[in-house]
Amino acid sequence: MPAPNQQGESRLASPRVSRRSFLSLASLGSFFAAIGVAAAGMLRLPNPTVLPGPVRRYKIGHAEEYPVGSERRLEAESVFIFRDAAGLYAVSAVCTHLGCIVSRSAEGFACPCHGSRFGATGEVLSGPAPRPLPWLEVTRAPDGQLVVLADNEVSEGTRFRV
Amino acid sequence: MADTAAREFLHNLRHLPQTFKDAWLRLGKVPESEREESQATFHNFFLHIHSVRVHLRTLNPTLTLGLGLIATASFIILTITGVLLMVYYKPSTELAYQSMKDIHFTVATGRFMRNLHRWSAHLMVVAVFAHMARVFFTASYKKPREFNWLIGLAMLVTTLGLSFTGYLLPWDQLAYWAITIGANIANSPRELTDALGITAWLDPGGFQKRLLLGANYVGEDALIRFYVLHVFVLPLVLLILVSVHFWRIRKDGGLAKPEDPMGGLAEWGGERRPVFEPLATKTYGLMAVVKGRRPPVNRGPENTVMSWPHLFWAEMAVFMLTVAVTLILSFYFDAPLKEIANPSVPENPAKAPWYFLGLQELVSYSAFTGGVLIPLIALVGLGLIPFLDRKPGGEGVWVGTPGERQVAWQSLLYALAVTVGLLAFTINFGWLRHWFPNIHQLWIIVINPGTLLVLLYAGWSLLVLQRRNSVRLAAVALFTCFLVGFTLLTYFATVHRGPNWEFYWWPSQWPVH
Amino acid sequence: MQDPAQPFRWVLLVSSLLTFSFLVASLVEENYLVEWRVRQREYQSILEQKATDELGRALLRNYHIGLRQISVPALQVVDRCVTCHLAIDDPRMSDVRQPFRTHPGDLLKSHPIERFGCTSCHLGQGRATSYRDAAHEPLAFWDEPMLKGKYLQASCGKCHLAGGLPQAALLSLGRTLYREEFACDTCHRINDEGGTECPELTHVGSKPLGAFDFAHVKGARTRQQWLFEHFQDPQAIVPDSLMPNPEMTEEQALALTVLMLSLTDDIPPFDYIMRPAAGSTLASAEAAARFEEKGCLLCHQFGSRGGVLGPDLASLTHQRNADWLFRHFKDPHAAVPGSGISPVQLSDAEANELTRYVLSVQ
Repeated sequence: MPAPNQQGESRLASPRVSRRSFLSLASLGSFFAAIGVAAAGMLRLPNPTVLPGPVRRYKIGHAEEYPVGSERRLEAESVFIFRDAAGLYAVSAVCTHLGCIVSRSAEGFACPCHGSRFGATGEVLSGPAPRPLPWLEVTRAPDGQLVVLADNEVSEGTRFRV
Repeated sequence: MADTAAREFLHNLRHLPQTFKDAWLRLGKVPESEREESQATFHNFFLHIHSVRVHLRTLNPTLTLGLGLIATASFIILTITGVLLMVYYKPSTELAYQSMKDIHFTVATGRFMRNLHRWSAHLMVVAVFAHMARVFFTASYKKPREFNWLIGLAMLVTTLGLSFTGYLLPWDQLAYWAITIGANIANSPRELTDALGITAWLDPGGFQKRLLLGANYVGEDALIRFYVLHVFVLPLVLLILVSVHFWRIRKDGGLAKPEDPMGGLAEWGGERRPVFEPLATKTYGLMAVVKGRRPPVNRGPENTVMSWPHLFWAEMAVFMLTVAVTLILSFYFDAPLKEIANPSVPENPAKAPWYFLGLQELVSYSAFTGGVLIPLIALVGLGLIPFLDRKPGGEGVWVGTPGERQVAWQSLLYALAVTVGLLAFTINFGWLRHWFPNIHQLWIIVINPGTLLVLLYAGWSLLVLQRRNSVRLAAVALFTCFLVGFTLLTYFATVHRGPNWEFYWWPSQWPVH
Repeated sequence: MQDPAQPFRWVLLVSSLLTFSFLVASLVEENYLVEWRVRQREYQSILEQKATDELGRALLRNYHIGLRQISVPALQVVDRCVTCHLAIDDPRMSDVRQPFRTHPGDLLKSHPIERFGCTSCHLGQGRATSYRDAAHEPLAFWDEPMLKGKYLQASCGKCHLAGGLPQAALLSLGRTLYREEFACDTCHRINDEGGTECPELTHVGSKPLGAFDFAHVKGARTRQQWLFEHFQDPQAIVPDSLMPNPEMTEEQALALTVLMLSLTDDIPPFDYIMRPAAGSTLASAEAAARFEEKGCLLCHQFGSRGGVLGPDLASLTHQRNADWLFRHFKDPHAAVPGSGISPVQLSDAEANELTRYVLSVQ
């Protein structure tokens, strides 16, 4: 009865032929390549290709409608638009405390719900609000109108140069 | 002191890649001896369900056609694609259909994943039926494998349940009306209880339907119940059954096979090789205490090969073959999605999922017979096979008993003839209610094409039992009739039943609406 | 002895290569060849041609390839039309080929897409991302193909509820014909008005296609085709119909079809509905006076005037709708427990008008 040979090789193994090893390598390689591409596809799926929810881009007319020193309030969108010598800027009217809508006050903004008060640039003066009112990006739409991108916050002081 | 400790620390840091790799991989290289190959199998959590050595017959593709592996591979594909789809699918009647559209149109790889899920679902149902047929025709249910046969039947039912619960989730017209049909089939015991006049006290039909739907109609409650069943309960049940099924394969000694001859020469792999006498020493330690006909301990490992690598090559090959076929189908063919579910616009014809269409055909004659009686008879009948046919012999070989092939062919022709004949009869002449409009429903429950087919098949099987004097051959006759009947009825209801369940030669002839 | 694993290696190789190829093909198709990406690359070259001024260059700089959608939850609309119709509101593109042409006319000024979406007027399948799937032409399993040409006027009727509309001449004509020339309400019913002998028409514009019988329709299998042919010869479309042949001209049939198509179950929200001005009994100057007279401005700010004790009324409407405002006007303490308001007695009509006023000034 043939016992395992000295090296302990399997009796059923033929001597290693380069052709068979190549096939082993090739098939395993293509197996892992296929699994790899499949895994990449699976990882891609949870990343949304288009974000749900309403598009928060608000057209606000042309620059000429905002003379220097003017301000306007967008009621439905809860945004204040200001223009000063340096340019146009938009401040969100959503109170950073619990989301009520602030109104204009002499010093800046005031929230009717819990009494937060903000200064003219949105900084917190008093009240429970934890952070300043965000400034929102203003840019230009294809038809030349100004448009507020309410999903994009910009740093305080950023102005759209007209 | 601190110096040597620092040096030791740096030494360990430098060797980190090596020690990290060693911690993960016990061997760290491709196994080169049989001992290393066996360790690769039983030291690995995922692989050690396999035996270390496996009989050469296991690797023979024409023996098993890899059907069990195809079903398992489909289950894995379904689980992975299913979880991915769950990221975007929303199980509410308001949101389900839209989420399906979003998956199809915008989700990255969404269309592909959904198609993969649908086609591998169909493939899995086909594979499990084919697998059951393979196991039957190779008599692989005989002792000690009776219990595994029953587990397999449980898995068949669970697979059908998974497919059925998933069918509702898209919430389109196809889904809604198919499940309405299904729920009414669950309600079919009503036909019997109504005929007996006892529905007021005993209403299993109504109970089943309410349990399924959570209401009297297919709506939000049905959707969430089906969702929970489909994504959690049934997959868990199937996973447990699969585990038990694989465990039993090991304990029952691997795949069923004819006994290897002891002593002398045996023909295998195209060669004649000596069959060896018992080894002087035990080759495998612990396994000796395990009972059963595994690659035997007190015999040399003839006719067996190491699982690593041979069996794993085979498994990978079948797995990737399944993936490739399903992938190609998914690339070219989209899963259907009709209009959003609309309770006021019935689909006509409203058809159950294809694997239930045979039942739907029988239900069209009698709800109770098609919905309850015949499925029960079929399941019980299938379950009894290994307990009624107990004579050993023919295991692991296709149609291995003498006369089996002949009986199978005869049964095929017989079943074709009687089934087609009965269908043709009912199409041309109708049934009891046409001839006797006032006949009591009980008569129809007892005498209808479904019950007649059962009697005709059973009669043929008993004839074979007597003439051939073999339980196995009688079982072959009955099982073949069952397969033919199932396939034929499914085909018939798919192709030849149109609006109002009337007979048409081809779908192109259906009236324009 | 032949290696028993050999055939499996081949099967593994072939099926893995097939899998790999089809996965890569799918990757390339989805990320490069798919119709909407091709369109967006075409548009990029158009933008490049038109980048002749600062605005053009800025738009080109900010351009990116990707799916776009307009989502208007109030109308339950999610429209991906703008993925290909990228220049819908860019006036520079009025001479460019479709799908890159600007929206014709100046309807977008009064119906901005951010507020209306596209499919609320044009129908079609907004969630789709290809020409075919968007139902530009009738599409299987989608009951709302795009309304084209004159049929588009039907959508105006969903918000412009009664009376005539100069820009939707056919719709206006249809409304007149229904009431006067043909007196359809003798037999048919819309909402609560009309007879009951014949099918109700309240939501005929949304009736599923599966509920129509197209057996005798000669043209395309669409709602408008069925209705149009039915107007021209009722018995031809519905063989045992009791409807006498109205003997109408083609234009009249078209006008009535447009009217029928406007009767949908798509109920727009309160603030989209355009009731004719004649319906309100208080002009806004009077309503403002009423506000002061009732003392509201003593505590509430409204616009640039008023007190600061109560919430600013101008900032309420996105939190409160018409129903809430009405209830508050009638019984403020029930609507806001713990409210500091001193209630004022208001009749239902007054509360209604004040509600409308508060809403209209937002």
